[in-house]
Amino acid sequence: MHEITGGKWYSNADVTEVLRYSGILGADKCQESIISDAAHAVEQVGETALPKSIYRECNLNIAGNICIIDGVEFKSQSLAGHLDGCDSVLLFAATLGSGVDMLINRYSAFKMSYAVMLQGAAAALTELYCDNECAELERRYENEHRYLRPRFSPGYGDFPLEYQHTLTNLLNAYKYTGIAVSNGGQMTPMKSVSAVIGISLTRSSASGNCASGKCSKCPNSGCLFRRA
Amino acid sequence: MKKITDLLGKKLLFFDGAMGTMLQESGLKAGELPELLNITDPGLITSVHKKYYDCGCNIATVNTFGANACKLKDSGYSPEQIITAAINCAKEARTQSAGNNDKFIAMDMGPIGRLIEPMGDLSLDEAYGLFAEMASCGEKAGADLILIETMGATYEVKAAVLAAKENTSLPVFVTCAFDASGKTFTGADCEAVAALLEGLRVDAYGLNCGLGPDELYPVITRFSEISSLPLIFNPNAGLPKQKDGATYFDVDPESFAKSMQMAAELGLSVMGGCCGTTPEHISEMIKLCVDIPPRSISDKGITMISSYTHAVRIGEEPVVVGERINPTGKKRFKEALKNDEISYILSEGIAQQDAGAQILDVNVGMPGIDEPAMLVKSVTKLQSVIDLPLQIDTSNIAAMEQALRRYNGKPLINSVSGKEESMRAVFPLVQKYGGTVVGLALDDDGIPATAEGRVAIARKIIRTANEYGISRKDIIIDGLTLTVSAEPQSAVVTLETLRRVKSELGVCTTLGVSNISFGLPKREIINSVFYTCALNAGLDCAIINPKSEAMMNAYYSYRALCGFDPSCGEYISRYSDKTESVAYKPAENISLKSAIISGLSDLSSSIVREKLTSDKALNPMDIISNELIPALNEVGNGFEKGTVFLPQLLMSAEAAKASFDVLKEVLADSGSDEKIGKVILATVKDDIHDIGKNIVKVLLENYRFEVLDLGRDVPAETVLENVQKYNIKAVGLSALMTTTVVRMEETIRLLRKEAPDVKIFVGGAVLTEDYAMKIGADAYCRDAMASVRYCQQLFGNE
Repeated sequence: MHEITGGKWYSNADVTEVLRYSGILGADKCQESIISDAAHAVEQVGETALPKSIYRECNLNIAGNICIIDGVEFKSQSLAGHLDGCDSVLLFAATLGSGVDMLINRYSAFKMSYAVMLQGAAAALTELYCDNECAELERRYENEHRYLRPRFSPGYGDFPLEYQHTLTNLLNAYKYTGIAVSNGGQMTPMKSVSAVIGISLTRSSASGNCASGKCSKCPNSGCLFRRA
Repeated sequence: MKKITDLLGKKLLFFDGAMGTMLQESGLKAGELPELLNITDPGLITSVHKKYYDCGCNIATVNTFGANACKLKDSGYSPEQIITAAINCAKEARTQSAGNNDKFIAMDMGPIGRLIEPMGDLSLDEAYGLFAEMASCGEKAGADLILIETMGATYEVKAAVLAAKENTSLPVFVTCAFDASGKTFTGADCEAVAALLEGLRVDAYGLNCGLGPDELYPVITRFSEISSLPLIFNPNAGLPKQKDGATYFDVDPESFAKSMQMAAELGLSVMGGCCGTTPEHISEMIKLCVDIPPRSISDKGITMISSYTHAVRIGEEPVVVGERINPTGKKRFKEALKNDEISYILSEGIAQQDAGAQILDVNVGMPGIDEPAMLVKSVTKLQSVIDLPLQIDTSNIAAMEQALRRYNGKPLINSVSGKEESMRAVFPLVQKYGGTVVGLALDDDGIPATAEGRVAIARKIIRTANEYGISRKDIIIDGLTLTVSAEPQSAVVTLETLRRVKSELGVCTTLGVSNISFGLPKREIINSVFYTCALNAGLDCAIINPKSEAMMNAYYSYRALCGFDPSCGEYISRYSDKTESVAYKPAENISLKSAIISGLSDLSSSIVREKLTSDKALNPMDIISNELIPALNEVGNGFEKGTVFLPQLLMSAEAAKASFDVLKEVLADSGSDEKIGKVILATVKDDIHDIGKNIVKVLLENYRFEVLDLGRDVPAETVLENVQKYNIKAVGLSALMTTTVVRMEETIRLLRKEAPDVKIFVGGAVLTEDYAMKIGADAYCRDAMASVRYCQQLFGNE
């Protein structure tokens, strides 16, 4: 369980990324006021967020398209492929907290243009927070000569969203971070992530590392959000 | 047999340590329900309880943390079976343990594991029902108290406490989980939690889980400074660490005990451990702490109300209560209430918060509306967008009770009077739900003409409140402002009442300041001067219009002059010229069309106002057709071509809306504010993402459609009901996830069957044209503009 209490963890947020999540493709094409709105949104989301994460190392066995993680079966070809060569995994969940949802709700009630920017900022900061947390884990594991794969979340490839429930349960995520899964299988707070991170004894150059490799292996090569 | 409440505060009592940690050591796997062991391996559970009793602990927390019907639904067991078995294990351990320590059994209720609306999708009533079932089973099986623990969401705490108090006669203890910054995971600080729980009159409260005793020491210290009730401290054995795939906690029993000894010196009443603590931890702690005498519990006398995030203290610095959510004398507000325009109420609230209000008064009483329903709706909706504490303002007792029940926090309640009937109706509600109540200095004989008479009524209110267990800190006296133009001495009497209530009764004060100037010109002048006089006479809570510059000038000046604004920092930052606002100042002589295209709301509305003032003969419809519509079309076309982006499109929409709002007043008078047609929007059942739907709403309204927004997580039946009720021609449905698209399909199927004429357009991240057609929609709208175009086509208004 990890939480951030001091310092501006979001100070290296990428405003271009915020704009992209807000539907602006090409910061060069929009007026200066929008860029300053995006920067303000980052500041506001960052100030409001109560980021928390939790992880747990588990055993892994792979049999065909089934990954058995601490005795629990995860059926997904994509996940099995992603974890190929790993001998264990980290289960991981992180959230910016419900205050960010409330902030977006607040602006949705009277200034939708800015709510969209907040939404973009929140998406970008969720990724940034996860990246920071994973980079830290990566450093720790590298000391033991073990290497982390990029985060792989339910919803990627054929890894069903329903596994959000399994992952958060295995992590006891509600108790420690406030992350819950709604009746409809959606994570609350909205800006939350659950993922499986493979651990292998060899560094895999093809998949990149945990924090920076991102989605380079995703087959959807035309995606606007691809970060190769 | 002794009751735990007889000992509470008289001797230090000890909770046990972790159950889960002990069970994991015995082979419990992550993800398995530990509560099932109560039935499958009762001997194991009994042995854990016995170890804790044997080391001297007083309260065994039974293994029912997650024994709610929601978590147990696939387990094959009912909460009653699990809870009865759990309590039997503790009873057995109590019998087996030979020590002469007092031994109690706490029915444990942990969080349900889902967030309550509006943060999540669980309703308050569902949460209440789950907790009520647990609490009743616990009492029936023989628990001595109820422990509600590891709570992070104040609304869930409220549901659990009400369930425990309304369905059992057991003492209620509550502990919340805090992080090192002193907040729960939903952002509630110590004051917010303390205000809520003391208001709900629990028997003891404090914190558990989260972190170790050292990390939580500042948080429990904070509680000890503000709490008027016995405090509980059950931290973890430090921070969780991982080694070789196993989780362990890093504080050993000796260190844990030393840290707990230090905390005990703060005057705690009950101490124990949470995750990672073992019988060794608890044993060491008891050895070091057992002889520490408890400090007597005293009422700190702090007047405090709260929202779900923070509390506002009253009586220390002047507080501004925003008065604008009130239909009295406001034509536009009445119209909004009549049309169920909750968004208007929300925008009034947000504007007041931005203007500096710390509390918002909420009054929606008006002939012809269902006040209880409207008040509940307003309070819950306001609490989904605004984190300020609210003042629930109604004379309708049913409305008051329902709003108090639904309010997330400890509210201000406006009001009770010195009339017997009023006190009999209001005080039991304050006693039950918590709250600080405004006492009006009037009674069955009316409003006394003298300060003497008003102070006497105030005294009676305070005395009667005390009989209901409501202490004077939770009474705020309103000495009443009467119109000075009708009563020449009214201001003098009010100010004298203020002074005497403060000095003779020592309670906080409030006033509806603006009443002073009814019937007078330039009301702000007299209001602001009266406000300053009242502040000087001891006014704590001023119910004023925070959007009034004159009033806020008085407020900030008073703060600077009376030492509430160190170095006049607030004053300076508010009133010194800001250079940054000039940076984006638009060029003068800009046309309305350009202002809208550039998304400049303030400028757009001032241009419209200017046009209407300078040319009285100007037809507002001409402004709409010659400037607003062409501007919107240009931006809309740009968006479709990819040269204008979503935030810009929305900024233009907002600028256009600001212009429409100015025109609306003129159009409403002439009766020509006609809408093109009424459209329903909804995010489907089980889907709680609504940003896309909200974007569509903004744009449709801009294009003069009337939108009935049903919100998110909307059942198919609700959509149908509204389609039929309002004879709707078009419905827009949104679903974000693959898991909820099936609900969209179900909704379409129902509408096709029961309302075959309605047209359905759909959108959402995972939808495609093909899929939309497959599930039977009439149109797939890839973005908000596509929804506008579809509706225009449908209503013949391209």
